[in-house]
Amino acid sequence: MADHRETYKGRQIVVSGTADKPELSIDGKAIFILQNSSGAYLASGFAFDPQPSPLELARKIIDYQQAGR
Amino acid sequence: MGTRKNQSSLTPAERAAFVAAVKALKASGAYDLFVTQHRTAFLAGPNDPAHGGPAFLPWHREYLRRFERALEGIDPTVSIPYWDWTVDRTAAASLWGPDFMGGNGTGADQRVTTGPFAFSTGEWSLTVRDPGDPSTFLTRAFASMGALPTQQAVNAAKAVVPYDSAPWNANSSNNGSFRNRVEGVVHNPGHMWVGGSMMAMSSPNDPVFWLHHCNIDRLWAEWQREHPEQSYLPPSGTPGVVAGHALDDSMPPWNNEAIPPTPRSVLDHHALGYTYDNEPVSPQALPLRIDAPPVTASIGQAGEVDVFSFVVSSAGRYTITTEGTTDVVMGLYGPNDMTVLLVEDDDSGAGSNAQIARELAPGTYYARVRHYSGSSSGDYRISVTRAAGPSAPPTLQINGPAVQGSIGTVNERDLYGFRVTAPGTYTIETAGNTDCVLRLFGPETTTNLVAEDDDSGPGANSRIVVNLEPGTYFAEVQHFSPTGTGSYTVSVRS
Repeated sequence: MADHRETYKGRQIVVSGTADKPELSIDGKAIFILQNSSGAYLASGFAFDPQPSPLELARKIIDYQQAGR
Repeated sequence: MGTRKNQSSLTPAERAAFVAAVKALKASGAYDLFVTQHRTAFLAGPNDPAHGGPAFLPWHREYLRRFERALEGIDPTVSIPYWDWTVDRTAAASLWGPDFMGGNGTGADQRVTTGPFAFSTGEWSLTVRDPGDPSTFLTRAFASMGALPTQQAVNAAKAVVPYDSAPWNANSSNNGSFRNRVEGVVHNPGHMWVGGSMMAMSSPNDPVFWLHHCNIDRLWAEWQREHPEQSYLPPSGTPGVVAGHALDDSMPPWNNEAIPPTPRSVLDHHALGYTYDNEPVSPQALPLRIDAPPVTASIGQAGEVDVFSFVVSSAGRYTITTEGTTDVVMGLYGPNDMTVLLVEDDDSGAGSNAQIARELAPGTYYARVRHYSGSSSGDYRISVTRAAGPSAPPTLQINGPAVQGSIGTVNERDLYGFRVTAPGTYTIETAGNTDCVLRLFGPETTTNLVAEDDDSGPGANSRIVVNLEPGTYFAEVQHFSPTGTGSYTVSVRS
């Protein structure tokens, strides 16, 4: 799987790894993620708003970090 | 039995007792074991025994009760209070006061700096954290992500049946899975609204976790009371269900205990030893003696339901009667199952009283009595009598006219007797447009099943052709569907 890179609200999201085991980083910092029983993604510190993909999860985490300041 | 109260109604002493017990558990290390159990559940990902599946509600009921027992070990007067976010919706709520949960996080690190759980107390550092999270202090960020559930959202969730549905995970329909709607639409937003530590797999690090989940548990208990016909789903053995989530599955992490908890073992929260402060009183069945004088009872508050039980030791015709000036409605349930409705009646008794007369087989029966109006209360009397002499259901005359009957309520079973004087072949059948099931019992008993038939007659009608010796037999008519009603006729010919 080719790495996916995008800039979202000024933050750098990278989704790498494999389709079975994707890896996520925001601004170069690795984020622990895992899938639940419905296939949605959760992250360390972000367990109650599962998202369909690591990319959408990263955007939500950034949304929260910007809103929560 | 402990009473779980609305946190906003706690006295200052009750608030202090709860905080002190929580902090004592933290000091002993027991608190952090609870946090670990919750984090471990999430870290199981697709095998999470606690979230994203049917056992979401039973797992947390068991988990909260164990936490509450641990609190009781510190202070027997303490119960977990609940946070009703449909009312207490802002940072100004007393919930977040400096003598209770403390306030919102502040500064760039969203650190909680007020109240008993501030890091600066030296008594509340986070030792169990999500992977990669270095923060040892409690964090909150109110209202950064979404809104707290409204009363409207709660009401809509509580109207959803059944309990759960395939695919038994977060993809279950929000209109066909009470569990998924509560979990995803009511529960998750509570965690997200508080923000910070409450968004983590290790969210019990924030003590408001317990108050939030206590309210979720209360909603489940209310749903159970408001939908007595709805059972837990799915049964064990259902394909595609994560281990721990079906009715009789052992729930991790307690699955290695001698008698591990299962979803079934926590369905009745009263049996676990607690109640909620807003529950209607008299949740337990009051026994009635047959042919005893009427018992005085009362719908003490609007919406209350009184439950009575009585034991039928010999089959016969029994009459349950209410008396007085209160317009009550009565449902008869059983035998031996408080969830199987036999018949409901409003005004068949004197005035606007309820009265049910029915052939009953041996077993325990339950009468549930409520006011006709959900906003009224009042006194009444109730009694059960047995008809004198032998059982006397309506009789069918052999080769006589068909008798008109009706399944007026769901699960109704109508019983008819007939007397065979000459041995021979007899045909018992139903007619009409209602899909009935016919059962034949006897001789001289309503418990010995001779034959059963669904659709051997014309259309969806039932027909039993059978050789009978002389004696009294009983034909029982029931709708094929547990939710069906309709009229029919029944007849016997030789």
